[in-house]
Amino acid sequence: MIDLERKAEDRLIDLGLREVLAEEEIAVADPPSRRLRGVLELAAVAAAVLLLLLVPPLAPRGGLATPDDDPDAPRLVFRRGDDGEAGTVATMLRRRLQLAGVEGRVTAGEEGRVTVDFPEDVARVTFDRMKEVLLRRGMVEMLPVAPADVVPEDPGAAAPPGYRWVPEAGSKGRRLVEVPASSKERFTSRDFNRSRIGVEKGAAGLGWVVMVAMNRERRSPPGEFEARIAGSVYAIVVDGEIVAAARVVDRPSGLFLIRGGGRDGFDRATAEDLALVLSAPPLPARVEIVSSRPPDPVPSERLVVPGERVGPYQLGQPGKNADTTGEPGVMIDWAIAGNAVVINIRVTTDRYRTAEGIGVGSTVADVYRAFGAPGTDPDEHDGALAYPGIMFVPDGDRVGSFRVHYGTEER
Amino acid sequence: MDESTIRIPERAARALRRPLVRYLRLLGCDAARAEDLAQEAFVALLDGPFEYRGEAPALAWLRETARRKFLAGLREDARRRAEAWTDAADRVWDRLAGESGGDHLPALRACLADLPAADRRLLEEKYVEGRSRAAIAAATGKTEKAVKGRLERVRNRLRECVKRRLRP
Repeated sequence: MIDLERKAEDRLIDLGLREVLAEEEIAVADPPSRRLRGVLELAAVAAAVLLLLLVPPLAPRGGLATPDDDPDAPRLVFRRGDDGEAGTVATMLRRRLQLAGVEGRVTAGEEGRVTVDFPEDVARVTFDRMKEVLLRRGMVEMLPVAPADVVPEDPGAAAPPGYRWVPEAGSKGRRLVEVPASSKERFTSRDFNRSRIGVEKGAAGLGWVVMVAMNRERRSPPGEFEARIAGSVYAIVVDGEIVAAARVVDRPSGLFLIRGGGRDGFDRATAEDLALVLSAPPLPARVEIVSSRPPDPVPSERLVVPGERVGPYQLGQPGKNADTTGEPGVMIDWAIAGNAVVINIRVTTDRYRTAEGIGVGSTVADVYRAFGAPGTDPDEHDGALAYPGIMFVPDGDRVGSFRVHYGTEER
Repeated sequence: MDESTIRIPERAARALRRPLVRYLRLLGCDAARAEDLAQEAFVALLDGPFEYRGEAPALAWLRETARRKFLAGLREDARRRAEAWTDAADRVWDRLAGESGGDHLPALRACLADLPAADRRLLEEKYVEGRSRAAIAAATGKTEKAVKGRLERVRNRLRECVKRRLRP
């Protein structure tokens, strides 16, 4: 009994430490009172003068620079859009960064502002992704998609009773979803067991899938819940928009798979982003971006990862015959191996650049300086690249397109 | 006694007892618990609507019954443990968190302020930055065991400090 009490005391102290230390970290980041700030500002000026006199000048990107005093460091500044504690928003944003495995320092400031400072060498693709992920409030609903016989033929018609139209993210379309009368049939992110959400490569044709486990309370009584939900098509609604139409498949372990709608399912990045949103608690208030300072495009931009991905497209996605993505200006063709998995992606766009900043439109001279073997004939680009996994196709004296290779398998 | 009037021949019962106990040991029972559950399964067999059709079906029936009793026992144990835990947690809550539910937090803040800077930093790494013991150990050049021990010592110190401050 005493052991249990000791265990309970430890747990209460543990929880208290998490709470108190997080509060104190935010309080340290918050500016001090106005009077004290005046004194501190004077002290800071005096210290700066002293430093200028005593310390030799540092290189512009010297090792002593911190996100606070480096005017070029990548940074996002948010402001809460309605009532909500900036400190709590900061804690939630910090949690999202942790879940995404992205380094960043989150501080709450005056007027509901929350600043996220990224390391100087953060990849542009990571910065852009986090910008999108952090901006979301993350209110998640999982609602059954209406059966076809309920959907009105006129797409402009009002929703039948018990249903509502929900816009689809990234398109002008909308879908009819059921709004169950009973809370037992409605699921939100609170019903998920957040520690058991992840992604995995699905079976052939499924693309990447998101694994979700419901809380034990929502799975009660055992068996009945699984039977009710299995095989149903659900819309995953995030902040009022459908981000995925998902089929939920029951599993003996109590895990459920959410697979993307459409023929090819989710790609890995989309599945990971969805898993992140489902895993993180929603923000207590909406936020908006006040300012955004992305990382320098060169040399930190890593939109092309050899052997893995070009921008949002990655190896391992199910093959496609289409050569466009629906995204203006982005043309893609896919090389497909015998197992119907993409092993080569060729992108024609001026948006994607390599880790070294070489992209479509770069001069061939640039390319050879970075990748080519010395003295190589520019026309022998196929076999002469020193940088494994990437191949450039010249167009005149410029790069017409580049390819990302899976090891040495593709030619 | 006429053998046809009993639900299972005595020789069969004797023969089945050993594999049933073996099965229960496989499930994780200690010897005494396995004997008890086997006994309960035989009692259920004798009390229930069971028709003897040979040793194999009888063993299957006994196994299923014993398995259910084993699971029921686990559930009962878990319930008892959970009750003991919630009772203990309630006592600690009343004593430390108090009626406000947060009486211990000011005391904890005060105790944290008295900690050496290195201990404070260790707690921040663990509780704010969410770093694992292994990651802290790698960064500080210590062993994971050493980090674990130090975290325990700091936490013990904080716990005693909080209790001291809350003592009437």
